[in-house]
Amino acid sequence: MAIGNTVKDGTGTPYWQVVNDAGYIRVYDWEPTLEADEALNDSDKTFTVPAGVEWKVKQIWVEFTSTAVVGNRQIEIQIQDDAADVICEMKVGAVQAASITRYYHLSAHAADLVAFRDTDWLMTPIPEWVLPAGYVIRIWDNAAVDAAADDVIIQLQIGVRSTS
Amino acid sequence: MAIGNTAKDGTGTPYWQVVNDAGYIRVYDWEPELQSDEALNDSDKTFTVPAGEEWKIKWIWLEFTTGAGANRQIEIQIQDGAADVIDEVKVGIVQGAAITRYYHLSPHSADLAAFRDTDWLMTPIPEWVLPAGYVIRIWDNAAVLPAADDLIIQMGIGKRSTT
Repeated sequence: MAIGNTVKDGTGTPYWQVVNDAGYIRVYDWEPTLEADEALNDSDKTFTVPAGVEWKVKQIWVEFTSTAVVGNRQIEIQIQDDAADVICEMKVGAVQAASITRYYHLSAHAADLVAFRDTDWLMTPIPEWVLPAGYVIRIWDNAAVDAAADDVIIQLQIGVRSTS
Repeated sequence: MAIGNTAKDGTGTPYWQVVNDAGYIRVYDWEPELQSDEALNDSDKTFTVPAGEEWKIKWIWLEFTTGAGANRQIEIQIQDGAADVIDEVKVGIVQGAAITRYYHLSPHSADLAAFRDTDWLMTPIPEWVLPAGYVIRIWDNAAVLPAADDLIIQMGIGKRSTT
């Protein structure tokens, strides 16, 4: 076996390919991928799983800068199916007031903090959602205090695998 | 296929071996590896995933000895290939001057807010899976004495080839 050699089924479709000098096979299961949305003036963001793939949600990182508009913001993660029906929600453990920046880490093994650590950092547990094509991850201030002016920057670390 | 049967290349070198009654093969995907940085006089350390690899972070062990000065805050920072911060985790308590403390971070850890048995803390982190070029930064984010504090790091990872 040499690099590039493949193992195929009876129709000639390749299923495995030699990828290094040792002749190991690599299983292309969940490829690490970063989905980012760094647009400003928007505190209601959505990510839709594209056709032909599945997503496994690994970590979410949110940098949230609130405007001077008075009101406490509540960060929420909402999962919708492909008919826009809400099928799951998670809410972080503390609200965010006006005119400040806060950072949120969400992952499967995180603790559930109810106060910001080191002034500005919060973590919240989420499940490792595995979502088919058409499902939606909505990350938003569910109080909608200043939805078109607050800045929510999102880094979404996922695993991606093909279904086609 | 029976247990112990192997799949070999043309030279007879085995690459796959049947390991159970179902005839499954073992896939050599995430190979365990230790990444260490034991250099002294440095409390701001980075590890970069090399080209052609992916890393899965399993656990991190820190031995942190401080000099004089203010409180230190240990932070784990993840950067993408463009040095953009895409994730952070902070441990649950700060560390004062002129002491040694030990930190364990792993996915199933509890989130301690006080040192156990005098000097030991654990903090949960996710099992980050990082492509080539991504950076793990482990540092005192208060930067009290970044060129004099001693921060020794042992990091257990899984590594797999992408080439």
